[in-house]
Amino acid sequence: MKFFTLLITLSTLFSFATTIVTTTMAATTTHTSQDKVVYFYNWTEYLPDDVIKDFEKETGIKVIYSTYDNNEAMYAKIKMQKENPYDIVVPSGYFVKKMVEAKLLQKIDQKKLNNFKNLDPDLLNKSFDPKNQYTIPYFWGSTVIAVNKTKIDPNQIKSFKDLWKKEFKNKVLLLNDMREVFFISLKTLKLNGNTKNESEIKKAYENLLQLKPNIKAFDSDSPKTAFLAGEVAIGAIWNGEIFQAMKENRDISYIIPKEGAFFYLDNLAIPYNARNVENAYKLINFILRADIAKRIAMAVGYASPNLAARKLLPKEIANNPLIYPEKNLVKSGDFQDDVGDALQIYQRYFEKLKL
Amino acid sequence: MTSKKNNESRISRIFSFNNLSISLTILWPVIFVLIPFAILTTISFLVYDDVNFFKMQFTLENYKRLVKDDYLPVLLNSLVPSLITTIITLVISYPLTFFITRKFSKKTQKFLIFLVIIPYWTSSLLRSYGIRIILGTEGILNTILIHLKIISAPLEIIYTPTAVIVGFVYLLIPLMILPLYSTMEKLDSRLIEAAYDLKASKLQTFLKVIWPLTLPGVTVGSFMVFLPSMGMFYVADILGGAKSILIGNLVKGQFLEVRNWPMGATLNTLILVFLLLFLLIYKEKSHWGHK
Repeated sequence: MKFFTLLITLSTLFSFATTIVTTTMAATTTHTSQDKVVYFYNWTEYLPDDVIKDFEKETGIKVIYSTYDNNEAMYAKIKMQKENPYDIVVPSGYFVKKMVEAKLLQKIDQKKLNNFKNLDPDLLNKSFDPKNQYTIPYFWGSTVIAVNKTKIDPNQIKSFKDLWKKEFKNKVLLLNDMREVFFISLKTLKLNGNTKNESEIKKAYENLLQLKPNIKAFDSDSPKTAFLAGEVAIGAIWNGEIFQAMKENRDISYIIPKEGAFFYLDNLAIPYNARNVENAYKLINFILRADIAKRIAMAVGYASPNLAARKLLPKEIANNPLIYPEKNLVKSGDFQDDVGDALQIYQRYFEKLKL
Repeated sequence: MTSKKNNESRISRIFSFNNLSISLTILWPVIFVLIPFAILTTISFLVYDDVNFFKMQFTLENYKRLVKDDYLPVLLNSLVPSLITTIITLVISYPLTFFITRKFSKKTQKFLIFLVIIPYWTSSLLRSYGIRIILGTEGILNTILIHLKIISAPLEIIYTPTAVIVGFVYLLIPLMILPLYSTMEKLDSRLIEAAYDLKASKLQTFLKVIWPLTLPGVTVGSFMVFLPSMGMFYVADILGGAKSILIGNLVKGQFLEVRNWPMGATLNTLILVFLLLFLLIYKEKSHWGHK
């Protein structure tokens, strides 16, 4: 017994001590080299390490890199963290408006970014930030249909509506994301995919109840895994995931639904309380450079909004309609947008759907 | 002179190892359990705010929503898998632990218990992914069964409620075995012999002697399995295909998906009340036992 108390006390003391040491260390490092750092807060697996190293070598600015896996966690950090605030964050499009309204982002001076011209004009001036005053597009993607050719003939699938077919009982995979799931249902009902109208959301929910027997699983951590493991035959998942799955298994194919895909766009932005703004500009400009953007795109697998980088990519990626869909498809599709307080309604019906 | 000595010894007594370790063991839960819970409970009475998470304004609306938005059935529903898990782990662990304590030498017992604990050192998240590989449609289990010609078509276990229960039982079973072991190890075999001497049948011996003596272990083990299983939402997500909702999913959803901190805090407070009720019942029960 005595031995255990000793053990507990020692471990407690130890953890206290380490906390104190690390906090003091963090404090000293920021004081000594304040103008030579940039705090970058990004999604997981969204920037390769060697790009960071090259930036540090080229500019002598140290990148302090940390990651998150959902917008909400990032929002809470920006809101709460007063010490060593982040200099660059990567909110999704639908989240930008919310952050701008909460005054969490500062305006970006495009003149300081001479590589801004590399960006695809089709992906600029989106509804959440009409003049790109606050954000710079980083990566974009879409939700389309994936099928396993050995189990389902891809030619019989034309639209999201086909997921409702009786023969797909217990064979469908959807993303575990309420907005994505409701988008599909809203679109098959020919409603606005970004609706804030409760009765429309309710209709979409009732429509999803019909789909429920077909749903084998919801997964947005690694939706491709269920396809590769043969658990599901069809589903609506992100194009980057399908691309990676197709590399591993030739039986997997994709269909761009005729209702139009659901697009998302992640953006670089500078928080209101950033301390190393100039360094943040340098890093953003570095990321926008054609050769660097190409390297990031190769590593990450999603579509780069950087036209100059796209020219450098291997043909089989640059001309792959799964990654870079045709222009009119992009125009007809919906970009995910903020729905404000209606999000609570979506959540409520999503929980009900799972009951 | 004497007073100085007294003083010194008093100071050394205050900073003695015992006092220090006791105050630390009290400080720890106060700082990391009590204060956070107090903050959360306070937030549950505040108004939701889109920008700042909550507004400093008193309301009971969140608690009204529990009833109005049918949260209570969800809560009760999510108790079912936890309850089933607790019963299954108990049914497996009780005879197993009894067997271990009766049939082996002390040294072998320690080793066997050690084997039970080892998997617990690996993250439960990783182990959930491991189970997914084993139970999958083209997974290890199905491949073996098909090879042995026991089944012709693969069993569809993964992404069903059964898979969630399998996961819970596997992940939490050490928490049942350990408390059971600590009570059974102390079980005096002379009492069992005495029962037999007094012509008690096997069943009577079990019901009147062994079961009451091991009951504390059973209760503690059941709590240790039941409570964490309510919060392990990621197991339901990974193995159950995120199709069902546990209390943990509800709380996580409110905090991380819709950023409604007051509602999340309310759900959390509700769980807390549930737990306190359980503990109170347990305390009462054990009190009766002593009488």
